[in-house]
Amino acid sequence: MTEIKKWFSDMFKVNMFFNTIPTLLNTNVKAAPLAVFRVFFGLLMFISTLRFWAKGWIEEIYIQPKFYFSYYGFEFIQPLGQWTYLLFLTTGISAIGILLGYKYRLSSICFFLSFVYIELIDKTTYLNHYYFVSILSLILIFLPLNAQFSLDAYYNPKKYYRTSIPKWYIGAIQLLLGIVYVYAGLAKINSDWLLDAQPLKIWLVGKYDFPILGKYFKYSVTHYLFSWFGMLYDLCIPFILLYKPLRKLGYITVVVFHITTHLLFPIGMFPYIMITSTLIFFSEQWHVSFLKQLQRLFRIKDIPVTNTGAYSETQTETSSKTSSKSASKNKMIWKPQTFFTAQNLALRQKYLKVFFAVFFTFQLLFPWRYVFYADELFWHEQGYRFSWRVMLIEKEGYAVFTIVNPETGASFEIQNRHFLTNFQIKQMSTQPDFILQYAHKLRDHYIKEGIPNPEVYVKSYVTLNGRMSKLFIDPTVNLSNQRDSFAAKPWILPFKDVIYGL
Amino acid sequence: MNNNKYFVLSLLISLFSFISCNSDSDTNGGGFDYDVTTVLTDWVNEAIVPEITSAKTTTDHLVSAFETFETDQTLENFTALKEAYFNAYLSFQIIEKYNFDTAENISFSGFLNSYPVNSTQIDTYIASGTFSAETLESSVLQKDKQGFPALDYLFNGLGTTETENFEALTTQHIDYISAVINRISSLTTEVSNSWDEEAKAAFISNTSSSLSGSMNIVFDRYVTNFERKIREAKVSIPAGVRSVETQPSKIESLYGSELSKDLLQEAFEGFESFYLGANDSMSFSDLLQGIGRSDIDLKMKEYIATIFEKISAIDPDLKLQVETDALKLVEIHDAMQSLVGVLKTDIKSSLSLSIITQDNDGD
Repeated sequence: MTEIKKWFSDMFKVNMFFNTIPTLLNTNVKAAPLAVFRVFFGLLMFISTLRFWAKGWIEEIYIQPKFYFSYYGFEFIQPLGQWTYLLFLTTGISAIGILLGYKYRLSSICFFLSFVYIELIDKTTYLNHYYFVSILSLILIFLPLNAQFSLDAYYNPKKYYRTSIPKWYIGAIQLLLGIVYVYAGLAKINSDWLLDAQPLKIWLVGKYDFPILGKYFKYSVTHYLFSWFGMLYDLCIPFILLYKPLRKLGYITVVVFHITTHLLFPIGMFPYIMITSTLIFFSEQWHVSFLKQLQRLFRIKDIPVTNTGAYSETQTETSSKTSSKSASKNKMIWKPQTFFTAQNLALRQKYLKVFFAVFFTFQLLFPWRYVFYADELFWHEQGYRFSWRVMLIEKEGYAVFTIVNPETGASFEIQNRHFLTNFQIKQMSTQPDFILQYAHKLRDHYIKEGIPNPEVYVKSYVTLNGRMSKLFIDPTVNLSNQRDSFAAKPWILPFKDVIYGL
Repeated sequence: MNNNKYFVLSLLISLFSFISCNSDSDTNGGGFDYDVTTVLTDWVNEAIVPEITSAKTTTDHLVSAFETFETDQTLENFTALKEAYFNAYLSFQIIEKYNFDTAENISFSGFLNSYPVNSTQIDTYIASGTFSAETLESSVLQKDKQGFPALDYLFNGLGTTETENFEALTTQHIDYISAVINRISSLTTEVSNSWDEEAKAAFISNTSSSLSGSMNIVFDRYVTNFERKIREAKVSIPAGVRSVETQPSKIESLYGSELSKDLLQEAFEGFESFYLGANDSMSFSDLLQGIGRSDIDLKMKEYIATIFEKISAIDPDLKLQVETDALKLVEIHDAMQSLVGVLKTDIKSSLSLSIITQDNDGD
């Protein structure tokens, strides 16, 4: 009984946490965690860009295809042909800029814009972790990640160097990570995942050649263990990392979990992004000593600055040469002296808080939009993206399109590979919005070929999480005159099964 | 700290008890031994190698039948040569799907069976007298002037009766036939020889579940061959599924069109037998049953039976069939599409197989 009482009292402590939000917003902490976060983020983004380039994916995914699946509302984002390389170059260079903290604001803006542009070209490549990087890089623009351990702070300490920053800057990054994990965990609370261990059952059986563990992958117990652990991990890990006594253990779990998923599934850089990002949960002291070690390792000289307050930039006793030189340089562009007045800073903080409040409200609400669509989300995928639904479905589809000339009644079937890449065919076959876009593409193509009002029909089969494949789209509906919108698509055939849960 | 431990412990216990309850009721609880080595070994020893060897034998017969005919050019020997040609063509149908390693590298399928054949160019080659056997090897652009379709033209396309076909053959024609047969033979020998002990061992030991693993390569070529070489080339294109008009001149064995259905039948039988596996050997069918997906296996068998039924309902002469009632072929096409649907969704998903797509990240 006493145990339970204690447990409840602990729960109230959690409640207290929410009461501390106002103080959280006004507390300052050392800037070291932001610097560490910046270094890892810049480094990983640079490696990601290199990796994408080295694998020849720029050519395969953004240059070779004849057709691109744009996002609804972002049709104006067009592929750039050979200029795509310049786009990736921008991403790569700005990632280095972020890594070094050099012209950080400009670098982070360039990174965000180029990265998001690339992502918006073709939703075939949509991945939750690309979305994560996109919105993370958006909020990073507004946070002073160059406050320490950066070239900006080195060359212009007066303007950039800060020993401390508002605690909520770090809280914002933690919150975003927390949302990713918790929402991913909530999405796993469904009967396919927990009661049937799907789709992990399918995936693990196919990984018979996995070192050491592979021989256990044929057993149901393994599938259930992985499923349940995955769900609990996602739901709990942000809280475990926030709770100091469990933090170390939690972080070991983070590393083991993400390395395992990396070895099992082709998920690219995502595990490394999470492994390094979650360091933000560690204490200031940890980050300070980590930076010191980095400094020693790379023989970086200490920045000769003894800045004290968070926003006392107006009067710091910064060291001689560098600051005065760059200060005079800056004068020509803008007037930092006036900009950094206490009043101005307070206003800026206010705007920033409003922006973050709006941003997080959106992040918290947007994933729930699927409730406005009837039938099974995993089946019709309306409201599926941008919601941290990771590794939840094993879907395979086969879609055969028929063009009918209404004037002559003549019809013929399309071979998808004449229009799309294999990767696009794979994505298109299971997602209704892709199917519709492709149908319109075919309609436009055959209008040019001389059929005045071509009708487009699709016969498509889809299997979801091991269920027997069945017809996905109403084969009698002429897709050429169906329009895309946020409204439910009535031509998606019913799932005729139930997956219980969120 | 202590109450925390208890909490975690009780959570773990409830989790384990839940799992153990659940797996008891699971039919697949024991775990099917997904023994890829056995599957690959059976594929090599019971299907791939014996079928390629048998194709090599029929090709050798073709070569010797030609030698007989060349030395003694009688109508009787001509008929025997044609028979040998058709037997080789039939056994080629079975092995066309093993389009990997050497077969893929030397474009085995492309050089032996590209149709419609370019008969005009063959006529030009023969008439000009400038033709040499090397021409056939010079580039892939030469692939529609050789292989079985070229023999079909030269054996069945020069006249309307057997005698006319026989009498139309000049020395130049026979030289050309010789070059075509030699090339068929040398390419088949090359594929056959490539399956030495070392290659077999390499194939069997490549148990990786990655795209380059033997399982995925075989599955990819199996599906691709069915889609492109069986469904498209033999059925859909002639039936006019891909075009506004029917295209009877695009059938396989155009000149000896009365034999065209036999080739389709043979190729599809090859497809079926690989799916079922010979005797006790492992196959896709066994794998599906093993992982507890007999429902997919039954569906597959049912669809295969439907296709055979529809094939049996058409005329042996596909050209005639297309010209009189192409819809019967469209029906076969539709049934084949349904079968591809099962292959590319249910089987691909449940066995975690891949059709070779672009390599990319997922989440």
